[in-house]
Amino acid sequence: MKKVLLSLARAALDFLVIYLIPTVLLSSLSIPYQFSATAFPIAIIVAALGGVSMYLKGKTSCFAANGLRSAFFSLYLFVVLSGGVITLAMKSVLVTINMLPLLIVIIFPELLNTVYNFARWLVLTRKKE
Amino acid sequence: MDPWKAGRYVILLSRLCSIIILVITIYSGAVILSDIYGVLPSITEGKVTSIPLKNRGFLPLTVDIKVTIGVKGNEVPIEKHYEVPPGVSTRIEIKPEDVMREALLSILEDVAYDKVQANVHVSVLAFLEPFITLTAEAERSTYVGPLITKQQVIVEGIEPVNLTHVKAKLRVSIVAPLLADTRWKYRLWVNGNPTEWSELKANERGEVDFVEEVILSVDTRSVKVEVCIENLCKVINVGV
Repeated sequence: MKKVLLSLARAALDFLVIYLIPTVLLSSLSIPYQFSATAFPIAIIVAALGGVSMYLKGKTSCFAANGLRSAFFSLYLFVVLSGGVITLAMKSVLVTINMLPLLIVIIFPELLNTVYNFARWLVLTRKKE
Repeated sequence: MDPWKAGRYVILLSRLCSIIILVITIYSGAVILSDIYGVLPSITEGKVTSIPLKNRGFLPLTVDIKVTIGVKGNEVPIEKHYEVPPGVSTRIEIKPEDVMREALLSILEDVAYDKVQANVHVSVLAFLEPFITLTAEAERSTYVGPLITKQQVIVEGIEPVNLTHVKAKLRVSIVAPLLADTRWKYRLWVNGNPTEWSELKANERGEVDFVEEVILSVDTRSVKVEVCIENLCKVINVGV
């Protein structure tokens, strides 16, 4: 029971940090930028995988869940930042922010984590067999 | 060391680095964006001539400003480039009259005597090396011209020279405030023949004033004054 509650708490915390807080901040700071509609389901998947990896902690499949979470989180960052090019219409000024190099820097550790976790999961699974 | 453990540390380190880069870049970008956003409408409306710009961020900043004035399909761009290292202040000089003058000289014919609609488009490209490029654009529609606000030829005096000819003293005054300090040239057409070109410079208020004495045949008693600014020439007929 405790494990389930902890997993749910982790999933909720993930969702709060990656989706709720940024959207609330954007609207409270009156920044005219909206997350893409696809960001919401991806955020749910990331949060759910965070909960699953917490639930599976100590098991081999935890690495697979972690790797999958990192992969979805990379996708989430890509979607949220509109592929690195954001356009904001602020009154009479049109602002375009090209942050593709920054996006690569942010996504890189997540992709590294994906590779690491899947590699570890594969090695441990083969050892078991 | 266990390779898996080493891998874990590499991931942690790369996460830490990416967070540091993210924080620095977002901070630098937000500061520059708020500065640009604050002054861009003023540049577009031609209200400011000098903008202080301080790179308050931690990344080297490159700023390219392009002001384009479009009249009747003709577009005249004026570009400025600035490089601002972190912590250094600079001044962006955009004098609306300079921009206008440069633009108007290219589209002189359209705006010399008429009021025409013009689009003023300002774009600012700020490059925070090497992570973010910010492009801010604003546009406004305005009216420019007429460039020549006053054009007058006065006959100040006529004296008979002989039975067939008279000597006339002509004063030509032209006012074009946006063409201050520009070089002009003029010549007279007397008795159907042109004189040599003479050069003169508009003063800081854009005023051109010159006096010429001509000997005219009493039969014609008319003279043409041809004034040129860049490629635009205007012939003024004067009856004496």
